[in-house]
Amino acid sequence: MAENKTTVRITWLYGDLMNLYGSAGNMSSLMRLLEAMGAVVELQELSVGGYSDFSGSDFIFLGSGTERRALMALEDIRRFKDQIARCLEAGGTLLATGTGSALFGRSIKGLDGGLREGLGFAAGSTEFYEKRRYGEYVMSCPLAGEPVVGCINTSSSVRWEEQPLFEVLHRTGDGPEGPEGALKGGLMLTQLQGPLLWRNPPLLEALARKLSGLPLPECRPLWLKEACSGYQRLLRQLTPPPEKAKNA
Amino acid sequence: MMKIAIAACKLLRAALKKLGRGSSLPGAVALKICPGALGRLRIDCPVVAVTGSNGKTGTTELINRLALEAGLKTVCNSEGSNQIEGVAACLLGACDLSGRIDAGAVILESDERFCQYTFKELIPTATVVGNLFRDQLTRNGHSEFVAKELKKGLRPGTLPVLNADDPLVTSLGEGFQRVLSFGVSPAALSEPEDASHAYFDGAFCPRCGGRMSYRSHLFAHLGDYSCASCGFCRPAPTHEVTAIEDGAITVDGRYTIALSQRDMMHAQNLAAAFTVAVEVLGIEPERAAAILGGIELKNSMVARVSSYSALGRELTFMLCKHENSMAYNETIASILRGATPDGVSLLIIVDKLSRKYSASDMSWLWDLDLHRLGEPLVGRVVFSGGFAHDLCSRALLAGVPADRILVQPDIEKATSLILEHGRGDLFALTCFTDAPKLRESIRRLSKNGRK
Ligand SMILES: [Zn+2]
Repeated sequence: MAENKTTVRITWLYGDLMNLYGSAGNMSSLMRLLEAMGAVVELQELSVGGYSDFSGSDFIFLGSGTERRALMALEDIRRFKDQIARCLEAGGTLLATGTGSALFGRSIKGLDGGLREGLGFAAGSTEFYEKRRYGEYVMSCPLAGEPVVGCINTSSSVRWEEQPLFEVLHRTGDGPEGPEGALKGGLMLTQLQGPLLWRNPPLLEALARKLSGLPLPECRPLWLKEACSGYQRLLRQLTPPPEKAKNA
Repeated sequence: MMKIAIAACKLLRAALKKLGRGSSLPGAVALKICPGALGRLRIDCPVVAVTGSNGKTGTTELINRLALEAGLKTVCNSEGSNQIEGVAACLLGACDLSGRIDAGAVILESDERFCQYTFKELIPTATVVGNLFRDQLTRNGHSEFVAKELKKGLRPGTLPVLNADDPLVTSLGEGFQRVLSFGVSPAALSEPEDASHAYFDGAFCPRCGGRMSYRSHLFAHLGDYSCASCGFCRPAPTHEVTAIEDGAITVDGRYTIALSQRDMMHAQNLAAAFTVAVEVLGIEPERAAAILGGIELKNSMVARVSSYSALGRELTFMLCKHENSMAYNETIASILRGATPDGVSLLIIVDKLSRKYSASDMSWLWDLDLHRLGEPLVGRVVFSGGFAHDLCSRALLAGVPADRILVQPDIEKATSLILEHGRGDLFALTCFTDAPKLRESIRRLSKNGRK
């Protein structure tokens, strides 16, 4: 029986190094949903010093870490550049959130002023600075067909010259403005950090369908129903009322 | 200008006091008039700054009370704000018109990120750094950022008093010729801490980035760590807790301090206060230990616990702090440690976050040890407040059985659910921002329930 099942191979990079802002929630929710859809999930975790060939992965994830740790991850991840390239060429998907996304651009300028070469998978560069910015967002998301909610907690500026992953619809706080992230083939980069997939069931479900080719479960598992309630509430809360309602 | 600043501060303080209000406004006004006022104060006694993420208010209070009972006249900002305006209001209110402070010790609690402004011209004799945990990350970014900001406030001339058990805090001593440290000896732990946690911040060396190893864990990333790559390791503390028993801790193998509750954080704070007393304030160690053992803290773990009864049940309320996973994780751990075979049931309320910085950040929910609610001694778990559904989803993904969980966003209804359906001892956990809603619910339920 088992051989008929769809297998989804997932590689989670630097889970112990880039473990900030609940990044683990992305992996936890994605794997549970894929399992609920009947897929077999093969998870491989890889961090500093470890080695494995993961070029055959269906999905690679890299979460958010401190600026210092992002630079540590950058130095280590160079040796996997070819593998990541092969994975993307073969139709694999890669999601990097928060500071993790910066590794895939052309360069990162650190606080020391030093310019480090990035992996260069997307056109764009990141600069770390001293000031911290925090913003809460509603963004449009063509992949999910419904908006995403999320936060950016950062001390860096990023400029992508690629198709944006999201467009900002509403913003509170002093986080960055304008289009957000980069989408290039299977590469998805965003400064939105934390448990992005868990917080946004429409995006989670779209991604799970894309990765597995399987239909969603007929009945949403309870944890996902609860996540949907949370999503709906925050979407209402972060979306300002239309002018008409305000005047009424 | 200094005299005018001092006079303005004193007048405003007196006026506000008449109105029954304490505030940092007098300090803000004084600093406007004379921006360098703090550096022009004449202070002949030791100045002790206390900072860190969790427990600084308690440690400040311990040191202040210890100094007072040792016969020293003290000046302390324990009642006011811990940012520069609060410190200015406290000090300019306490000095004479020439700027002279007549005291035996000045003890100042400071926000970690404000040390660099507060202690720019006024260099403390000693600066105690208790710990650096993930705390209000929407405001603070992350602990490494806070450490970097805090380091700017450790200027040459101050004596760092650092928590040896916290690698990030210990790394702040780099560059100083002399550093004091305190901690809890690994030998003091009768039972090693072995619960798994949602995250671990001690995996990598704060100095070189190499992978660290721990011989033992105290809690979170605190413990006996070392880095094979660069040799960075837990230093031998100047003073450390060498034994923890029921009702007392021992410092340096011979000084006994009475302790009302086994609380690792409090043991750490006691070690910090003891070190400051002996090394900075010149108090005899025997005397310091005796005084510390007699202090009942306004801000201790014990004081953050209150009991209520309603609908014929007892409910123990334990004050935590939203966006501070340590506060919740340590509270959950202490509830499970103290659980009887009848078990425990918990009500967790997360409704309002700090509106100023965040309304919707949920990253910290993933730093909570909610998986521990799946342990056999836990009967029921009720999630309430605006984030009730998110908490429930997170707990289910952490493996908590669904039949244990009740979700009720309405706080009063949730409170009645735990009272009616909770098994074993009942606990409620929330932040001070949501505590009034819980108390009001209990009050209404006990009134209506009596009939
Ligand atoms: Zn090292």
